[in-house]
Formats: sequence, structure tokens, C-alpha cells
Amino acid sequence: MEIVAVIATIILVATLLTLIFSFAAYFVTRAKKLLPKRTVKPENAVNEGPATRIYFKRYMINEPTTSSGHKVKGEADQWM
Amino acid sequence: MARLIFREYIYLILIVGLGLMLGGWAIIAYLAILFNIRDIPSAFVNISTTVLVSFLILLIIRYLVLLWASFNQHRESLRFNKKMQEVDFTPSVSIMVPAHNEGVGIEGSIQSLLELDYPFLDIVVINDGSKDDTLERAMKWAGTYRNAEVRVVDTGVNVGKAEALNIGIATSNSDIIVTMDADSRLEPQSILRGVAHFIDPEIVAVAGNVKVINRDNLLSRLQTLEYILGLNLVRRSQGYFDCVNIVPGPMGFFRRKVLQEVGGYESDTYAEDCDLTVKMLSRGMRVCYEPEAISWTEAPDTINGLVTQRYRWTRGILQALKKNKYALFHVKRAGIVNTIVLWYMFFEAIIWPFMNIFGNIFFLFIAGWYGAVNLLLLWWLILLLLDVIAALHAVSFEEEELNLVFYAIPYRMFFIFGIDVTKMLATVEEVFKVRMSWGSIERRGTIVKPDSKSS
Repeated sequence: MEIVAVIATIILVATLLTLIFSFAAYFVTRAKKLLPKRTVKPENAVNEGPATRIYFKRYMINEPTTSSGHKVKGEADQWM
Repeated sequence: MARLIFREYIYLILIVGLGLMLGGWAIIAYLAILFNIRDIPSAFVNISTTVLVSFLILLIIRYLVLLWASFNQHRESLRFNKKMQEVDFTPSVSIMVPAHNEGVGIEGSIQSLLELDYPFLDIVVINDGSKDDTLERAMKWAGTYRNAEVRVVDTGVNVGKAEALNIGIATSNSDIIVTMDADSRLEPQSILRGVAHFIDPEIVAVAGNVKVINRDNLLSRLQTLEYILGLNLVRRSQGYFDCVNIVPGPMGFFRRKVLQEVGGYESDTYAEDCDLTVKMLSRGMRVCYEPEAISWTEAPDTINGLVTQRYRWTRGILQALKKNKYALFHVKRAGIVNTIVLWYMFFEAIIWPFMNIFGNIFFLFIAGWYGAVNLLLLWWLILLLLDVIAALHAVSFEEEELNLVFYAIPYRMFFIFGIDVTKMLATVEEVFKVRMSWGSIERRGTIVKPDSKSS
């Protein structure tokens, strides 16, 4: 019976700690991501000039639109 | 052939045994919980316990259905692949490789695509306004090769993954479009296996099998188990009914004409792959699963990275469901099976995370207030057993490392609970329409091949 009590206590403590830690992780991540980022000039930024390669196609999209026709505003960086 | 039958026979014994164990355990646990709760004179406790136990039974039924359907899919898959060895079916294929700041791995990615087992491939690298040297590195590989042509398309500015894919697809004339991530690696047979399903004219898309490549810490190993147990097992089961609800970004196959028909990818959700698949399902289309179309991907190896990813996934899935909510109620258009799968998505995205968190908090409260620690123990052990059984089943089908099964303990104890908290909070933000201004993940470049041309 003692072993059951030990396992139950471990689960009890683990559940409680996980609960607290999970909420903390979420809000810490959220806060960190929302902090203003310092702008750093990227090294080797190469996509500014026109392309010359034969197999290279450049699409100039000054006003990107979604396939349903409305403009994309500020949240285009949707990369996982 | 004899070996194949023997293997199937073993699987059948395994699945019947697991089913009986699950059923027996469910009855014992149900009775034990009711027995433990009878001494607590509180309407709240009794009602909550009844709800949770009923929910648990629903969960056990879910697992039984998953085991049964995935077993059948596995058998079908073995037979299908054997049959396809005798058929020459190689339609034209374009592989879309959208890349945003992927300079660290793009060359390795292109190189690995050139090693794929397929007669001829059109490889389209789409540089989506990268601020690093992705474009320059990709352009080194542009050209015609023995079995492929590599083209590079630049969107000029960052238009987002969905629009980048649409632009790439617009430049292609192939019958089949394959999508992947620039930081993923495909197994050589992946294209051949995935494309084979299009021999059935009713199949419009095929979901591949995404596996975690970086298994170097506890977090990434837990995600490895999650991919096998939580994602691939479900996809495999749905594959039996041709109603896979998410064709994953790192490995998806589509008929090009169907992509055009449904309007391609859209940028108004944060899970463009889920949105596209839901659009197809809501039109009654058939989407299947190919376990041997394998794509290796990099999983977040920090808590922050994981929370960010799951936040995006949850909100994206909810947005996709919201956009296509009519399909939840219009059975005639989507078909009964697809409608059930869409409701199942709703269950997985919202109901289950809330119930799991409520269950844990409730049993914590019972343990603290009434001293009934046994209830928490029972609740937890039932879920653990379900995980272990499903993990054994999934690991054997996927031919994965057996020691992943042992990770089911920390998986249940910490991981899933933490993920569910993130899902719940993301759901709350989605309901209150909190502007989503965070969510990009830093890539470590784990999958860069050492023999990359530039290195």
C-alpha cells in the first residue's frame, strides 16, 4: 500500500508542478516574443538586386494579395 | 508472401490483445473511480467525476477505433505497395520548396532532392523575401540535372508561406504538386510512394509521414513519440477512410488541378496546410496517407520554441475550422466520414485539452480537499496505459526505436499536460481575437548535410 501512496504522491506533485510550469512557460514565451527586437542588418543580404541566371524567375510583388483577393498586412512572416 | 501473412497475423493478435486489455482496464477503472467517489458527499464532485469518467470512456473508444483503423490501413498499405511494384505509374511531379531565411540548410535540401528515386522531377525553390543568403545559395543549384530540373523563384518581398507556395505552384505545369519545408529531408522512395496513390482518380491529396530527426534531448525525444503516437497514428487511422484532416507542410502531395479548383493556399490562417486540407474535406474530397513517404523534420528543442509552435498550430486549426464551419453542419456536401473527421478535429483541438486540464485540476482538488489521492492516480494510470498501448502499436508499425515507449511516462506526466495548457490558452486568445504577433521559430539547421556543395 505504501508504494501506491508514493506513486500517488509523485503524480500529485508532478501534476501540480507541471500545471504551474506550463502556465509559466506560456506567459514567459509570450512575453519574450513580444519584447521589441533590435534591428540587425543581415550579413550577405543578396536579394536586393535583379537576377541574371537563366533558370531564375523574379516575381515583383509590391502589393501582395492572397488568393482570395485581400491584402496581406504585416503578418506575412508565417513560418513554422 | 508467407512472411507477410505471418506478420499480419501477429499484428492481429497484438491488436485484439490490446483491445481486450483496454476494455478490461476501462471497466475496472470505471468501477474503482465510482467506488472511491461514493464517500464524498458533494454534488459538484459527483457530477464532475461522472462527466470525466464518461469522457474517459469516450477516449478509450477513440483509442480502440484508432488501433483498429490503423491496423487495417497498415495491411492495405502493404498490399498496395506490393501491387504498385508491378505498375509503371510516374506522372509529372513538381516539388515546391518554400524558403524563408533558410540559407543554413537550403543547399543540403536541394542536394537531397536530387537524390530522390523518381524518373524526372521539377524542383522549384521559392525564396520568400529571405534576409540571409538563401537566394544566392539556391541559385548555385539552378539548372538541369540527369533526373531533375532545379528552378528558383523569388517573391521579392516576404509574402508568407501560403502565398509563396501559390506563386511556385503557378509556375508549374506538372500533374502532381509536392510540398515540403526547406529544412526537411525526404527519404529516396518518398515521392514514388506518395504519387502512387494518384492512380486512383478519386484521391486528390496524400499526406506523408513526418518524423523528427533531432532526437538529442528529452524534449525532442518526447516530440518524436508525439509525432508517432499523436500525429501519425491518427493520420494512419484516418488514411483507412481516406479522410486525413491535415496534409502536413513537410510532406504533402496534391493534384494540381484540384489545388486550382479549391483556390490554392490562403494566407488568412496560421496553418495553411490544415486550412487547405479542411477545404478539400469540406467538399467531400478524398485525402489518403502514405506511411512510406517519409520526411524528416527538425522539432523545436526548447520550451519556448515548442510553446510558440503549438500556439500557432492551435490557432491555425481553429481558424481553419472556423472558416469552414459550414462543413460541420452540411453533411451532404462533405459526406458523413469527412464531417465526423472535422468534428473530431474540433474535439482534439478544444474539447480534449480542456477536459484533460480540468481532470487534472479536479483530481488535484479532490486529493487536497478530501484526501482522495487514489482518484488522481487512477485517472493518470488509465491515460498512461492508453499511451503505452498506443505507443507499442505505433512504434511497431513505424518500425521505430522500441525505447520510445518508455518515454510514454514523462510524455503523460509532463509533456501532454503542458501542450494542453498551451492549446487551451491559444484557444482563449483565438476566441477573444487577440492579435497574433508572435510565433516565428528559429531554425538550428540540424539537418544540414555535411557534404553540402558550399561547405
